[in-house]
Amino acid sequence: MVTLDEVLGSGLLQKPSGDAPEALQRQITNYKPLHTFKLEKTRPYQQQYADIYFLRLTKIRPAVEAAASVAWEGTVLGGEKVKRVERVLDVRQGELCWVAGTVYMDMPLKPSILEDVSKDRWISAPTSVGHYYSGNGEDSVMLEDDSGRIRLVGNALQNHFMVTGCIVAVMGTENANGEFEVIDLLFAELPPQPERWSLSKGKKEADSSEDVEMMDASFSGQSHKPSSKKIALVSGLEFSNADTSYAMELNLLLEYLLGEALDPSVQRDELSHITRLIIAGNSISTTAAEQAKPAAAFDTTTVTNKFQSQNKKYGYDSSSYNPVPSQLLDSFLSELLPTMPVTLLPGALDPANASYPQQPIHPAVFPQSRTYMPPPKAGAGKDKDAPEEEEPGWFDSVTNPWEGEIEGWRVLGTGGQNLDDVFKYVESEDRLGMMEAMCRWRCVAPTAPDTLWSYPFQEDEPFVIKECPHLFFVGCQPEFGTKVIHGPDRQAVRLIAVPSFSETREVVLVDTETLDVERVKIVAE
Amino acid sequence: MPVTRKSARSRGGAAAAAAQGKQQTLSFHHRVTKPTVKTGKDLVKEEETPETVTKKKDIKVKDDTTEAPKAESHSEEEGEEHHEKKKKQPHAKVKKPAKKAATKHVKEHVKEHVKEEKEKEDEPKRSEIELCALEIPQSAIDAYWNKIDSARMASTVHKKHTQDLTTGEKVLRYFDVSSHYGPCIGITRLKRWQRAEKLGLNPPLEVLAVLLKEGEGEDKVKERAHMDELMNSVSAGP
Repeated sequence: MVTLDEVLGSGLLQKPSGDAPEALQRQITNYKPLHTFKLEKTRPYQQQYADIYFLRLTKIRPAVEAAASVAWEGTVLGGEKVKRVERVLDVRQGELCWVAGTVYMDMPLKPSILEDVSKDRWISAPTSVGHYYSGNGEDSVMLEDDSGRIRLVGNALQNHFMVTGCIVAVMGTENANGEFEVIDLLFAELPPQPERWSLSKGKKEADSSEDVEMMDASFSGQSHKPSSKKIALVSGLEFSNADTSYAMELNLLLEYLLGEALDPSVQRDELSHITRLIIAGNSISTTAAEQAKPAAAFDTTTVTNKFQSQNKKYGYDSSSYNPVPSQLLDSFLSELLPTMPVTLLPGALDPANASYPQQPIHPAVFPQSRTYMPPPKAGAGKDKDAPEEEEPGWFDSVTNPWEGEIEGWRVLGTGGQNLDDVFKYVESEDRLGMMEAMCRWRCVAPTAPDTLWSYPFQEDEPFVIKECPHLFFVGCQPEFGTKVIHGPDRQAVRLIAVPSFSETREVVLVDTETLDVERVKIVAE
Repeated sequence: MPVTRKSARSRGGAAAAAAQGKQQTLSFHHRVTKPTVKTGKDLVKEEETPETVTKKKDIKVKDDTTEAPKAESHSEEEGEEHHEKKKKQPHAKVKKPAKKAATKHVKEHVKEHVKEEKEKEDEPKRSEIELCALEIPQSAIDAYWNKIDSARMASTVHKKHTQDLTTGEKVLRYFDVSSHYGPCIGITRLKRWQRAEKLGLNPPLEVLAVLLKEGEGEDKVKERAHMDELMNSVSAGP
């Protein structure tokens, strides 16, 4: 009979080498979401979209005119003094003046509802055109306000991005063709930026001692050891059951975020510092199922095709519904949630409403992760003020676009539809430049409602950026990019274009103290 | 059958039988108490009793109890019903329990009494600015309109279209057309005014005064812009 000692000595069995690794703790970040883009459940759709343009112009015009008067007051060109003109139609030929208004881009490739109605064409679903920019001189830029429209020409226009809906001030004169020759152009520039911790400061003083202790602990923690907390940003996870090319990477991503990947030293130094995950859109993908269908059609005979089309009932084919993608997302989140809080923004492919601003994904989609969300309130939906006071759950399903405060920094993020739409208007590929332009226009979605479907706001338009964020991220982009831009009033904004995970396998980590950005690529070999 | 002694007695003594109380008869000693429509005469009598103006639009029955003892010999029911039918007092009047004001109110009652009753429940809270607007008298509104009219270079050409409009409606139409405050279609006038106020555009207070004034029938202030109604009108063709 073999005794244990003999076996141990021979090297077949070994006692555990060291002590069990200590369980790592994750720190808590201060998190306060804002409900700027939340819409009422009983919202009316009776109103016109013209109100949105009116609200945008009224809100941004004072800032633009202030900047313009500072820049152009007293300018003398060719012996003539620049004058301010009240309305767009007050421009006179040969007179040097400046005026502020909304830009409208007249492009033949842009889908236009007026064209469709006039030609009596009824299309079931709007066809998505790739690019509106035609580049052959057919596009025209116009300046518009409540009085009328005037066409803008000039070389000064080439240096700036222009899309429908941005508010500009232009200086120039009207030429013989009735067009406005632009000499100089100005935007509203970055809005005033709040200080760090501006939203939580008041709360901190008013809170009970418990919270104050926690705050002190985290503050002291930061001063004693430079343990940098990090926020992970990811987008385009695109869980689907058909396309499994990146399923391995998704699994590795889960291990990475949980802190189970790599060796203990890396885990302690880097992975445990990730304190929050923000998923910026496109978590579920259903396109793969449609791609599978034409492949099947080639193999089968016409008889089976008829069968497939006969499945249609109530106007949609119920056999094409696939619950697997949302189940995969749910299991991913439910494994991650016990250790890390998650903020989920819906994207273009996600089960949320199609128009901007997208409302939060309903908890019904997540049967397992639902336990981490706040429970539904009795009599909810009638109280408009209640959402402001409730605590955000560990799992926060939020609107797209979204505004909030994380660790004192003001964060503004979108799922990518606004940037993709602006991209279609301009010739360049510089997505970061477009993000910068959006900040300087003070508008998150300038092309809404022209080409980006939107809710017809009547009382207040939330797309206008009132307070400059410290961090602005846009998800579902084709590649990673980051930049810091500065404003005239010592504002600084970190722009991040978060790449789509399904294509690039990359995760972005943002340091919460310095707002530095790291890019992590997950490769499975 | 030959007349029996019994029947002869009963026939002859019908009146006597009635007098004895064997048969029920109609009696006209009790007053008819079913509610009747008040005529102008009755109201004129009631007018003379000064009513204390407690609340502007309060038509609750409990207020009647304070006025009942002051009412004349009319029964309590009639007093209640008068109160129910009482029109909502015009907003232009300031809330002051003065007897002078009371007589003015009461005159309005006479005019509006015969029309349909409009029952409103609790009064919405009036903001400060709305209270300021409510104090603007009709003369100020007229002066405002005259100022706008005189600023125009040409006088109104087609007077026949505008002569049917009250000054209030003219003021409101001018407000609708002022694109400075946004498009007038798809939004009620009051909401548009409040939106302009919130955005800091300083819309004229006289417009709010006209909007908050309540009228009846032709006097009623139109909620939506006239242009809105024209744009939304549906014409049925052959």
